[in-house]
Amino acid sequence: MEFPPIENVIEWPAFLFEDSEYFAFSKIGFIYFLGMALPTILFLLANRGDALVPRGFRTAAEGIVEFIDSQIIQAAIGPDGRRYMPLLTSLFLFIFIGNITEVVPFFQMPGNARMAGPLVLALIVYVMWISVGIKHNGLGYIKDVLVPPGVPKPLYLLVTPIEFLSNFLIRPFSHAVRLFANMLAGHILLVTFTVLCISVFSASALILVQLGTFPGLLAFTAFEVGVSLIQAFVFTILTAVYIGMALHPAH
Amino acid sequence: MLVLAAESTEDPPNPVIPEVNEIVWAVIFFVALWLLMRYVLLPPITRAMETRANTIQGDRDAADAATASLGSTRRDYEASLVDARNEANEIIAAARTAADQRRAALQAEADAEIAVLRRNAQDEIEQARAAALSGMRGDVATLAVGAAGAVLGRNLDAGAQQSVIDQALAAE
Repeated sequence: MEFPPIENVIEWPAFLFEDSEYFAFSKIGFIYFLGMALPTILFLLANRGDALVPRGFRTAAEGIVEFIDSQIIQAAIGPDGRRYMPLLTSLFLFIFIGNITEVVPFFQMPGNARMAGPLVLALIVYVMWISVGIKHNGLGYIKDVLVPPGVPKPLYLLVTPIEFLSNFLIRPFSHAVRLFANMLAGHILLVTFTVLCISVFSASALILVQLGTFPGLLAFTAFEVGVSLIQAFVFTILTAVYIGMALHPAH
Repeated sequence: MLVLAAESTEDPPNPVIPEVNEIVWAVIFFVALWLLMRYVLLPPITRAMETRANTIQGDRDAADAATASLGSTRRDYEASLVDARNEANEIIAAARTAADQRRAALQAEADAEIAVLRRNAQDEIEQARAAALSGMRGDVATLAVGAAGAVLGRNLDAGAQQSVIDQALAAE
């Protein structure tokens, strides 16, 4: 069996609005739709019934909210970061679902291995933290970022361009590429091991090699489940860190 | 052929360049989720969690207050117990003192009464002794006068011999 061409990972035929340049709806679009629909269904189911004693879906929803609050908001922003709970919860769930489809049968493609999703999310976060910084600190926020206090004046010639590049150009790009590249690499890794596994199984009587390849594929699949979770967490906590830095630039 | 050649030499699409349609759907679905989370999905959950946290905190505060109140009540109880013990000790000591005084008074009364009774009894004994002695004198005198009369063979006057008899009895 040959390794599939890279186009198989990149080109996804539309099955709705095929003729539209802007609204052609492919498997990637469907994964983004699931990223919205599954959390919505979970939280709608969670909001039914008794709120005092959580059970079932409510336990799951409250667990997610509690996780976002304690591990992301309190860790990166502080108590005044709770107002960003909707954004951070949406980011975490949207990204996690967009990642986990990598190991879900019939999908077997992470939505975030396409640049569109991570780029959109990173740009929304970019606009968000700059807005937060200006809202809470005025236009002096930009000055605080570009001209950090406590630096000898001649060094501003060096520091200010670096800060500008780092904060306003590289940060959103690295934010998006980190997620995209991790998921694309994981997907290619799984494809590679799957092809290897099938090839070895159909090749010869190398029983020992056959016994080694399939467990290896399973192990990498489990590893990618962890990567899906960790990348969703990393993207979300970085968002919280950026917002926290915009809220409290002196820190 | 030219078309096939063009297709075969065409570079594969760059995976880093995002597709417009995917950007559109990503924006639509993510913003929809964000708005739903902001206005529909999260508020009931966070409200319920806050209510539960407040209820738990309220119950915890009430438990702390009850514990503090219990400590205060216990201290009051122990203080009143000490007071009661002191008061009981004082009452017992006063009762013991009164009892001692009463016993001493009764003892004195009894001693006085015994002394009176003893004196009366002694007087009665003296009187009885005196009466017995007097009676015995009369009898002895009669017997002695009778015996002397029998020995002498004549009747003796008891009255005349009384002084002799008295002297003899007194000598005894």
